[in-house]
Amino acid sequence: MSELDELIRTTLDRQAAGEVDRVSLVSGALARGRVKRRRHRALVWGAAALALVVGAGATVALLERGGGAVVLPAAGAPGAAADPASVGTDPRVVHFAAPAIEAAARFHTWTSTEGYEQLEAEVDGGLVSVTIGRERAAVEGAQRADGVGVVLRSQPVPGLWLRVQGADDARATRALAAVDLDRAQRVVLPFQLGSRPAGSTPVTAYVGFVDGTYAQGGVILRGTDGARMEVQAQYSRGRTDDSGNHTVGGRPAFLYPGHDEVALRGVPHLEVSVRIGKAYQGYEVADADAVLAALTVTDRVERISTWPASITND
Amino acid sequence: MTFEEYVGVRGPALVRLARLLTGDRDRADDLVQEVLGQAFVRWRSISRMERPEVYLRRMLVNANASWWRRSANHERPTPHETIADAVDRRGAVHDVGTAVAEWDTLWRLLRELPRQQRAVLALRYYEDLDDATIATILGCSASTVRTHALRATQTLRAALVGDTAEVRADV
Repeated sequence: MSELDELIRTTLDRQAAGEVDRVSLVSGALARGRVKRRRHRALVWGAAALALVVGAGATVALLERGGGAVVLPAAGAPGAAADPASVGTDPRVVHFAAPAIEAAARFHTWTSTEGYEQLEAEVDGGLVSVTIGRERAAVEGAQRADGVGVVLRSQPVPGLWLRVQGADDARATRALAAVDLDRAQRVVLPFQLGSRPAGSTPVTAYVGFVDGTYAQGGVILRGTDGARMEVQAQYSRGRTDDSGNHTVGGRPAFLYPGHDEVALRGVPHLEVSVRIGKAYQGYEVADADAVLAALTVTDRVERISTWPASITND
Repeated sequence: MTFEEYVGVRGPALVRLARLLTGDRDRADDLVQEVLGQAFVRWRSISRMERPEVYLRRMLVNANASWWRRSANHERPTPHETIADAVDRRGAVHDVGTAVAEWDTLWRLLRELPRQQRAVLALRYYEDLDDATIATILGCSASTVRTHALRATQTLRAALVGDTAEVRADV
């Protein structure tokens, strides 16, 4: 090291030295951080609310929002960071949140199924997905668009895998920064199962929104013998149609040709059906009828607060 | 590590680096609190980074640059003093051989360096970081870091040997 190098080093050491009040540093940083966080949240919610009001138009009422974007209700359970073992065990819950993604998304879908939980969204014209799970293989296997864009993987806590995929590095990084693993949310739907086939359990639930408005959602039931059915509802702008060719519990219904789907009629803004064919096998029309007959459906799909508190009544 | 824990353990190092970047202890405290306030909002993602300390230093350097760019803050830490003035005021330091006086002189010279050059020297000599890491923090290439370092040391060396003309040109 030259004499000048040594002189520079000594001079800098001397100028930088001196006590630092750690207590005031921490308290000052926290105080500023909290102010910034409040401002940031106000800006995010405000921008999202403005975009939704402008974009939604007059024909579609807005869903109730937590200050801006539609939000799922809190689950009253620990998030994935605190309880990674619970991730992917109950389709009625997702153990993370990402309000910034929801607020910025044109559409987004929450999915909770065996082994993983996922948020998919279109943000700024690009698809982003956030997936968490207890096993890396389950998380990797959850992707529908392999190899597209940039993938960020991490293990935030032991026993938890996180995978974020974005169209490019910036989108993926922003999505990663938006993930909150300290919160758990309930996956809710505009209907509740009052009855389900004996021995069956919900294994998958999903709920999707477009521009803050409910778009579609469903729950997949699986019986002990492997039989599967999907109970699902899609948003419908059109007039309520009471016509049908079938009756379920005294309500008009439509039995699809091939007897692989039964749909309720006369539900405002919703097409509600039970699918028992194609990907879903093992149940009969009578099983679908029984599920639909006991189904509780909200008559105000636009307001999430009117939705049943849980997908199931148990 | 929680945000509070990180600031308690690593915050003082940020303050000391900020003292070198800003040349002003009060502004260093203010700058670090501002940067940590920003970090608090995104702490969950920052804490998961492989090297959060590098990211925070980058935030610090950028915040200092932003402060510098704001028109109201264009006054320099020693507004009426150039490197040449500092050398002139050094007087008979070498003759006396007083180390403290020498450090004070060099510190004045360092404060007069262009902001990026001073940052490179602080990160290289005080933080002992390699050029690649410094480049990451400053958002430039490693060769640019080496160029900044070379020009800075040339300026300091010239000033210390009393080459006033060269010093004035660089300033």
